[in-house]
Order: sequence, then C-alpha cells, then structure tokens
Amino acid sequence: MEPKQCTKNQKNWLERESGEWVEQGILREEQQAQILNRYSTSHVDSFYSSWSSLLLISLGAILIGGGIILLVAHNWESFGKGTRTVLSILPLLLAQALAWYSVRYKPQLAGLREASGVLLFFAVAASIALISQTYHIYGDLERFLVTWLVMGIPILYLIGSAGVLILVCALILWLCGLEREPYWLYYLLLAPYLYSLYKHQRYVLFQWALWFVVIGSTFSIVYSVGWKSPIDDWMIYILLALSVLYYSLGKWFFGFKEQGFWANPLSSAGALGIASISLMLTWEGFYRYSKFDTDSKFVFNDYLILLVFAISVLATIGFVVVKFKRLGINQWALTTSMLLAILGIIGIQIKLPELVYITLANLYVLIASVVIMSQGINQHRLMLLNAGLLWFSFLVLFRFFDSDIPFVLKGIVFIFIGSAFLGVNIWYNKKLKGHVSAQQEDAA
Amino acid sequence: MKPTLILLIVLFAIQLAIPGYMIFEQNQILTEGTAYKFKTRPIDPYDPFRGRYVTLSYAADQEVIPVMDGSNIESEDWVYALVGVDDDGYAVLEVLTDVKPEEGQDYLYLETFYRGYDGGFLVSLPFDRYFASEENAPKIESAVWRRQREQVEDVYAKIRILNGKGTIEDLYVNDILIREYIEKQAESQ
Repeated sequence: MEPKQCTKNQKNWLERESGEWVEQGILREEQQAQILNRYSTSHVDSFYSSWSSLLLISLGAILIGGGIILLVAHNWESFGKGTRTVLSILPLLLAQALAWYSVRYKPQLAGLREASGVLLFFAVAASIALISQTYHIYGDLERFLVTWLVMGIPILYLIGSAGVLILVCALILWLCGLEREPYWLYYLLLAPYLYSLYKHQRYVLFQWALWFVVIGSTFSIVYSVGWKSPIDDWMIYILLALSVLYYSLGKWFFGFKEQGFWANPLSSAGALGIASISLMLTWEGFYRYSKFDTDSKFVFNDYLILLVFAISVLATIGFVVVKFKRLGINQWALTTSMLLAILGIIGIQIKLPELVYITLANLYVLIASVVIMSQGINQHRLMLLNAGLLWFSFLVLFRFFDSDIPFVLKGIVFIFIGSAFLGVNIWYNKKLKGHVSAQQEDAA
Repeated sequence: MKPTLILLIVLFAIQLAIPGYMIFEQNQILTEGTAYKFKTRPIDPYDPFRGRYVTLSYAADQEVIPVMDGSNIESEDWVYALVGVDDDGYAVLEVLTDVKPEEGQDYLYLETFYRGYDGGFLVSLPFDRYFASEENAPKIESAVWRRQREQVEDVYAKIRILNGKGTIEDLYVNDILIREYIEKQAESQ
C-alpha cells in the first residue's frame, strides 16, 4: 500500500503522540512503526530540497537562453540567410536535446527537468522570432502568442515542468488583454495537470499551481471584455458571481474542514473576491451605470462570459442544495452575496431604485461581516475573527468618508450601530456570567 | 518506448516544423512572387527579441483605398487589395474587394482599419519591418531622411507578392541596395 502524504509538522506530531501511546501501553512498538510507515513526507521533502537548486537552475536557464537570443538578435547581416536560418533554429534544437536527455535519462532530477522545460518554452518563441528577423516577417503578435501557447502547454504535460505553468498563465493573460476573444478557455487545458498533481498527492505544488490558475483565469476573463463590449458594466457582478462559484467549489471539492488560508485556493480567493467586490458595491455609481448597453455589438466572448455567469449561479444553487445540511452560518453569509450579483444585473430592468440596491449592499456587508466575526469568536478561530473585523472596518471607514450621505443621518446610523454592539456585548457577558454561576451552583 | 517519449518526439517535430514552414513560405514568395517597388520612409525602433529594425512607412497606404462596386466591407474585416503600378513604376493599392481575385491578378490579403469619408477604407501594409543590425538601423534612418530633405525621394522596398502575402526582399535608395549605399556614404565622409 502506498503511504499517504502529510506535512512534516503532522508527521512530527504523530511520532510524538504515538511515542506516548507506546509508553502508556496503548500501542506496541511494531504497531507504532506500522502506523508511522503509512504516512510519508517524501514529496514535501523532495519539493523543498529541490526547490532552491530548482530556482537557481531555472534562473540560469533563463539567463543563458536570453543571452543566446541577444547574440542572434544582434543580426549578423554578414552571415547570409542560410547560416542565420541554421543559427535561429539552433537554440530550439539545443533545448529539445536537453529536454530529451532530462526525460529519457535523468527523470529523477527535478531541477534539470524544470530548467529544460523552461528553456524549451522560451526556445520555441526565440526560433520563431529569429526566423522572422532573418526574413523581415511582419509581426502578428496575436498569432505568434497563440502558436507559442499551443506549443508550450504540451511541455507542461510531457516534461512536467511546473515553472512552465506560470509562464503559460502569463501568456494567456497577455492574449486576453490583446483581443476580445475567449482565450481564457485555454485554462481548461491546464485542468488535467492540476488533477494529476492532486491525484499523485503532490499537494504543495498543487496548491500554488491552483492559486496561479484561479487568479490568472479571473484576470484573463476580466481583460478579455473590452470597454466596447455591451456587458462591460456588468463585469463587476459577473466577477462577484465567479467569486461565489470559486468559494462554493472550494468547499465542495476540498470539504468544510478548515485547512488554512493557502491550502484551499478556491475558497480563499473566492472569499477575498466576495469581500472586496461587495465593498465596492456599497458605493454609488456602479449600479447606476449597470444598464444593458444596446449600442454595442455582442461578440462570441460576451455570450461565453454570460454563460459563465449562468453556470456560476446554477453551480452555487447546486452547492447549497446538495450541502444544505452541512452549511454553517458563515458559508451562508458568503454565498448569499450571489443575490447581490443577480440583483445588480436584473435590477435596472425591473426598475429597482439605486438607493434600495446600495442600502441592500451595505446591509449585506454589515450583517455578513458581523456573522463572520461572531463565528470567529464561537469557533475560536482568530483568522476568521480578523477577516470579519477587517471587512466590517472597511465598511465603516468607507461610509464615514462617504460624502453622499448627510452628516446627521450618518451620525445617527453610527450611534445606533455602536450602541447595538455595546448592548449585545453587555447582554452576552451577562448571559455568560449567568451560565458560569449556574455551572458553579450545579457543581456545588 | 514509453508513450511519453513518443509524444515528446511528435512535439519536437511540430516545434521544428513551425519555423520550417515559415522559411518554406518565405522562400516560396521570394522565388515565385512578383516583385513590386513600394515607395517608403524608414524610421528606427527596437525589438528586444528580434533586435533592431526600421519601420517602413509606405506611400501606398497613406490614402483611403476605394471599395469595388458590390463588395460588402466593414472596418476590421479581412479583405483583398488589388495591387497595381502607377506611372512612375511604384506599387499602388487600387481597390478593395471581399471576393478572392482570379489567377494572374496580384493582391494582398489585409485588414481594414477606418472607413474614410467617401466610403473607402484606410489599410495598413503589414510588411513594415526591416530588420538590421544595431549599427546599421540608425544609419539607414539618418541616410534616408537626409536624402529626403535634399528632395531625392527614391527610397523604396522591393516586395515580392504571392497568393495574397507579401515579403520584403530588400531596401533600396536610388536603385542601390541599402547596405551598399550606407557603405558608400561612410567612404565618402
């Protein structure tokens, strides 16, 4: 049976605890050894031990590759077309040779694999660029980037170089900023890679790769919608819906048990998105301009993004229905922000006044942040408490400096909410005291 | 052999085939294409990947190009521009059409940008980069601009055109290759 992967801290804890169990006679020593053998930290070890050399080798590879490009970019006019053509393909051939050597003969060297993958990724672009130089081929940047991307993604799978993942994410982002085309769909091609990392229990790599993909895909979708698009003003709501989707998927896939901020990129990034976008919606202005722009022409990308919105809504409903019994009050607090997204898009159509929407948004952040804070206190989770506090403080700060609300109204609302906080605190303390004294009486 | 290794070989082959095809296509245009003289003015920017080049700004794409009767063309459409020659022997874009021209008629396949006031379109000739060494690129620019102040305006790029694609064969000043022209200038100074 293959041992399960765990972190060093977990292994140390298990060793310590099981040692005590052996001393107390609960376990025999060979049983302890058997249990310990079922958990391994090898992936984590190999990841960290190779990490430093990996970084150095990758940087070295990039510098050497860059140097070769600069040498050829100098444009040796005296060499003649034939020689220059051979020289242009040379970096690609060398990188391919190194990649072949790494995969065929030294598959155990992670650093070499990493470096050869990155080098090959750049060599593909370099050879195309240098041939363009020799023949004065005009640059169609979009086609060049797509070719580079399509040639680059297989490197990720065949050589398994994780550095290429970051480069691929960056390329997709570049493409999305360039044209109103759904180039963000290329992220789907990265999904099998992420799945294989997860399946092979390479959790550390999996987590940071997922962070890159979540953030990269979100920005790519935003960038692909130009200002000319009819749904440009809806993007803030679509982004909110997407955040809720990420949050729900994170809980759905990785479970409700708290694993820490970095361990669940989907839920963490989703929660950050929900908190920041809902704060933006508490301001005037977004809602007012969110009417459907009928002058602009719909392109394929716009339809696809509307589809993403629909999928986000449906998947969130699915999540709530399937996991209904397991949803805690803080999960409810975050997923209900989907209503703000839906209302933002249909609000103008059903003639919902701006004041109502903004009031709802403010109430939402107020209630949700307080719920998160109280959950942090109840569950003794400092991180949750601080997150709720931060969310709440931003709302207060924004409203304090909001010049659209009259001072008197602001003052009254502030005093009212402040008194509510104090009141609840006094009530809670009394209840706690009563509870403690009742317990003491019981004990006596 | 493992499937990964076979796939790797396939990937390597495709990666090599892309520059290979580019070379083949360019050579085909250069050997089989018709040569045209496009009047031009070079200026000198810089590309970190491909080094120095001079941007060529052509006389042929400065004016609005009329649309052929019966063609339905919008801005940002890809269209066929029929190539002809003016009285001085320089290439001009005669008319734009959305129907592929017949054999024997040279054309360029390009994207329209803005609609002109009279229903025609502005286009941009794509072969606008002439790559040169760090030394020569600024020299090309200064040599040519000085020429133009002296009213000698015979700077042109020799472009080969085949099946809608054009490629730069070389750059000339007064019918002399630009590199030779710069060398002569250096000698005479």
